[in-house]
Amino acid sequence: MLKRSLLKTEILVGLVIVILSMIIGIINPAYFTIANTFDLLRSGTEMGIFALGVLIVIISGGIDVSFTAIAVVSMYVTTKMMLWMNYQGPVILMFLIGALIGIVLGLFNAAFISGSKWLARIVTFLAIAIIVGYLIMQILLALNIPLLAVALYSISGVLGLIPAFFVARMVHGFRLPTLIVTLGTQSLYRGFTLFFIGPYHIIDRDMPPGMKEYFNNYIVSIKTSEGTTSLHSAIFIFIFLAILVYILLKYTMLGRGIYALGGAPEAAERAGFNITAIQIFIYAFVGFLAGVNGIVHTGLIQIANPQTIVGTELFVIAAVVLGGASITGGRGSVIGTILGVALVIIMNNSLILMGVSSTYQRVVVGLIIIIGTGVPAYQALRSERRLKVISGE
Amino acid sequence: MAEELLKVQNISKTFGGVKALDDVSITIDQGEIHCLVGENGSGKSTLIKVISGVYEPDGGEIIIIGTHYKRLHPIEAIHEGIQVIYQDFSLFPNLTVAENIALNYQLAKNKQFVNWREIRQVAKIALDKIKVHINLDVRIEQLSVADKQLVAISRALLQNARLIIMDEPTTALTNREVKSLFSVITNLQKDGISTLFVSHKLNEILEISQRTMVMRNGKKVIDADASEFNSDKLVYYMTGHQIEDVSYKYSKKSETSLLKVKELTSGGNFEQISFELMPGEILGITGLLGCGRTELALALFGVQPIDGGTLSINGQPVKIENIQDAVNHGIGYVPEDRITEGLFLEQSIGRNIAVCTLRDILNTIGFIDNNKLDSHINRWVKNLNIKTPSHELAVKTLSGGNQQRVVLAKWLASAPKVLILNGPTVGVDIGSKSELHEIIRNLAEEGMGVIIISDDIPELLHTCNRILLMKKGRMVDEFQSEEITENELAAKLTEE
Amino acid sequence: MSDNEIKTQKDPAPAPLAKKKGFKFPQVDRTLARLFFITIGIFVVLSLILPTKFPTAASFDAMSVQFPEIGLLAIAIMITMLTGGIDLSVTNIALLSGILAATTMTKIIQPNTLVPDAQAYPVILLAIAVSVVVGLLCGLLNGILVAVVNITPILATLGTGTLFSGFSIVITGGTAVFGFPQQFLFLGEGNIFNIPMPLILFAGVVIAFWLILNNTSFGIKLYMMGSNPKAARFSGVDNKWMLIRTYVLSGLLGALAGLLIIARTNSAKEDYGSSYVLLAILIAILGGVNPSGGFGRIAGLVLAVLSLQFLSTGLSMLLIGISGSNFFKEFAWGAVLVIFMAIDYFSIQQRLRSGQVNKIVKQVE
Repeated sequence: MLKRSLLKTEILVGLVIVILSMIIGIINPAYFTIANTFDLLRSGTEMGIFALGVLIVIISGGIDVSFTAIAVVSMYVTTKMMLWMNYQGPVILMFLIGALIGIVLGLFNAAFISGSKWLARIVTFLAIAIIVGYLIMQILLALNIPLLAVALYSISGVLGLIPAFFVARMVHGFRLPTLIVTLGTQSLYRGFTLFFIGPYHIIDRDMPPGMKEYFNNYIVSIKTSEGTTSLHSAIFIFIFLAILVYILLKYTMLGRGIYALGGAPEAAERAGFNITAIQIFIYAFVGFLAGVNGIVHTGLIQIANPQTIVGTELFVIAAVVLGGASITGGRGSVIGTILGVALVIIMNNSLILMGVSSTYQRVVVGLIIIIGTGVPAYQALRSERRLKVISGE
Repeated sequence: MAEELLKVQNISKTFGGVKALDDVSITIDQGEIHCLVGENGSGKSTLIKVISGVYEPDGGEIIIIGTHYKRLHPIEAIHEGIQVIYQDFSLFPNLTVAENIALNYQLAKNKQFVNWREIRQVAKIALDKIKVHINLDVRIEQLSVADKQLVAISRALLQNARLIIMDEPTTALTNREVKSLFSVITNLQKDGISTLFVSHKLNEILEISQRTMVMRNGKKVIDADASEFNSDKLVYYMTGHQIEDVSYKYSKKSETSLLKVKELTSGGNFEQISFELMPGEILGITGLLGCGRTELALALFGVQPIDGGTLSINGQPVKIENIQDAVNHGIGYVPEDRITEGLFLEQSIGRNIAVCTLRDILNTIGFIDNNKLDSHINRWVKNLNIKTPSHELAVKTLSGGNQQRVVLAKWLASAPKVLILNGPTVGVDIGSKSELHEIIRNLAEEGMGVIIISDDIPELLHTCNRILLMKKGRMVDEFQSEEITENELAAKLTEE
Repeated sequence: MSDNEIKTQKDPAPAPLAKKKGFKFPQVDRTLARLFFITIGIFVVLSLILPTKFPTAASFDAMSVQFPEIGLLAIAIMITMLTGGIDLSVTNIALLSGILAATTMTKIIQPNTLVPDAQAYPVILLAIAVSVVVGLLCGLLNGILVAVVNITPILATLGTGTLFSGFSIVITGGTAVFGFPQQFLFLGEGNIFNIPMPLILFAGVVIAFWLILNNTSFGIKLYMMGSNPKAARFSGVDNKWMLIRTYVLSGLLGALAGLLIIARTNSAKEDYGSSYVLLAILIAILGGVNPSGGFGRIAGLVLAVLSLQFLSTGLSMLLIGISGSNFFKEFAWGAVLVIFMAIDYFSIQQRLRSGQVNKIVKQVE
């Protein structure tokens, strides 16, 4: 039954895509050109990688809106770091650092969500050490005691560590609502990047050489009448990750644990799943995907602007829900998600092709989200009523 | 004599000063069906949780075939073959039957990857063991309660269970399903698997049990051979005092019926239902689970859509299309599932009582008159004898019986003409049960019309003056309760 | 065991734990008391750090016109959170209704011209009416999507929020609308008896919502529905109608906030206040509103909005001359939200551990 109903959403979304494509194609034949296809695939790569992470979180019954901010941190901090180090090597290092940043920030989210004792203690310890240390430093500065900078920092640092140690020992883990936590960390990550690292974008010619090379890492380039159009290799990253997530969800106990957690958290715990570990994995993995995607974004857009990306998270969530994932958890598939992303991307990118003025773009996107989430919601309501009638009590 | 499987010795457990378990011992032999009986709050659940390793006892020890444990960890309990089937079954509604059965097994084997073919094989074997057939590819949420339970049992068996603890397993089962559950339990017994059957349904205990232990206030009252007990004795041990159930005598109060239902039909649920309810009557509607009795009640309350037929109240034809209509026409409904449909657990007792009657306590400018509200709430707390130090406390601090009184108070406050009670004493302990029956009888004597939906035969016979029997969506029979015995009614209920 | 022994075991006193003192406080009151001290604490600390700048009449004046608009949005978030939902579109409603009111005024009266009262007032009233009607309609759409179509509130209001901001862009073409009649600006800049108008408006709304939430049938049903919608339905509460009314109220609050914003800044722009949603959620959470529904008090919300305004003003003063102080605030709000929730959770856990709440919880089990 699970298969059938999922299949139904998938087929439905697939049909909508086909019909929509035909309509757009009739209005403007440019839709079926290679250039446009490559364009859609490029947009799809970025949203798709995000969507894989969102899918996992939603199946587990949570929600994450901080992943775009994680991508911003990964993109901007990594690029800045490479420039500062004057790094001349290949782009792979940037991917590694981006992924690492993503994992660390994902773990930071998990510290507040998973109930993990140690993550919570580490975060508490660091937060108190930094805040208290900073306050002590300010007090010392205000007292105007002649102190060497080294002495100032070390005194403040050590004095900060002491209360941090004692308070952290009292912490036994946090289990906070996922939406609110990630709303908070989104703002925190983005604000941190913009204030402490910088608000200005880095344009293509200022990029590290490895990244500049990566800009042109195309699979194919085709000459058309309007110039060359190319497909970037980043799509392979997406395909690889999609297969990885598919296998993870379908064929590993961890993946089944994610479904179990989303379906009945208490039962999952009683069955012997380590819920805390699963949640740590989920949020770290979302962070990892977002971190990688930060670098992919730089490669595709050829610019590192820390003021973009954040704000698109809700479209990604909408795409995943459109693809049949249940926002209450326990349900969702990789194939559905890919179709959902495809639908949103086609709608989003084809407005101009259809001759709709760009000022109407948000109106149309809003309508897509409302209709796309409304139809399955209304169907669920009706089938719930039907089920009640059939099953009796 | 069979070998001892589990021996719990002198276990105590205290929660913040309250003794939940006080020096309790129990011995379960291999292949024994042991019943654990007690009212809510008697310590049954705590004892189960100690045996399954969820709670660490303050004192005493647990011996499982010679191995002594001061503190049993959940995983050790599982390894020792102790399996608990909780009331909610701990199943995953979004996963298939096969996966639900095999998942724990796979986990216990510490598998990292999933072999779907193996899952199906394992699940099939497990279901065959208890000789039931359930489609392996159906999602759990689409199964009936009884099937869910069978899935939970077969899952437990997969883990080499030696003792299966069932916590109130029959609450949501029909009589026939209970019978088949019992045959599964006796089959397990033949294989040497013990069952600890926790219940407060006396007839079931008397039927299935080999030994019975009664608990009260965290203490063991008695643990003896099943043959030592009868229904009265069990009640006596559970409550500490004798309870007499007086049956209800209906005296005619009026010629016009309070509620008249004529040829009411709701497609696929019930058809052509006709009956009358007189003021002062307590009418029982019974039938097996799935016979349409709950749908009928819900239709009268405006939840279930009606396809045909008419309703009249006090002789006036009425249309009830939603709950607001029903409430406006003076119909109240106490749902079967108290926790999810009847109560706001986190909210105060007072607000729970007042929620239906807020419009009666408004002052002239449309705001709530807090003095009126307070006296209103206090009156009902007193009338129904709800035991609480303050009505500002959350409802979840109350016991099951007192919670049910809150639900009753909520409706009584709105002075309904017709009160429909669906399973009014499900999950309520025996002491409270007879008090609730008393309240219901008093209400009827004051002229209210009461409909009780239930399959608790003693309850029906003691509380109602007339009983209607439903089968497969149709009204098939009617009895005066003084003219029929428990056994006769039970036979009528289950015959094809 | 003999029968006599059984008889001597009398029924226990019910619920011995509930009689103990110390649990008389419901959870919310504790939150309220703590919040009160936090607010005072923030005020005192800032006054000590910035003695010449912070506790001054000028800064109070500035603050008292700033927080009402965000306060109104936070009340909107609060009431929707009470139902267990959320209205992420409320700032978009504010801006859309503000923009429409602004366009109404500038279409009829030339921007930046002085017009006599008799000519201005009808136009202003019309503009206010437009804004209020738009707010109500937007709220109605949200209510219908959530209550009737059954979309999860996060997704529904995300969709409508995008839609509303899309309308704003379509109407303005992305540029600002500005230059309203002097008489209208009184709403944002004027004062009566030295009390700024925004503050008066905010106080009025707070009192109204205090009454609605505590003393009306609607208010109490709102709390009940938020803690168990199914039981509310079975108690004869019309959940759909309740939800629709809540989202409509939320839309109305959005419209009022929109009017305040355009009257205070004398302009209406689609991308104003992009961090307001987060801020409003932060205020609601800080004020003790339970995001899963059923609990939260208006008094807590007022304290939360005050303490955040103190913090915001204090931060601006401390960061004066440093570029990107807005970004620092963004960082700070996120940090405050996460830290506050963590502390709240920690303190509940501590009490659970110390056994204060233990008994109640165990009994429920």
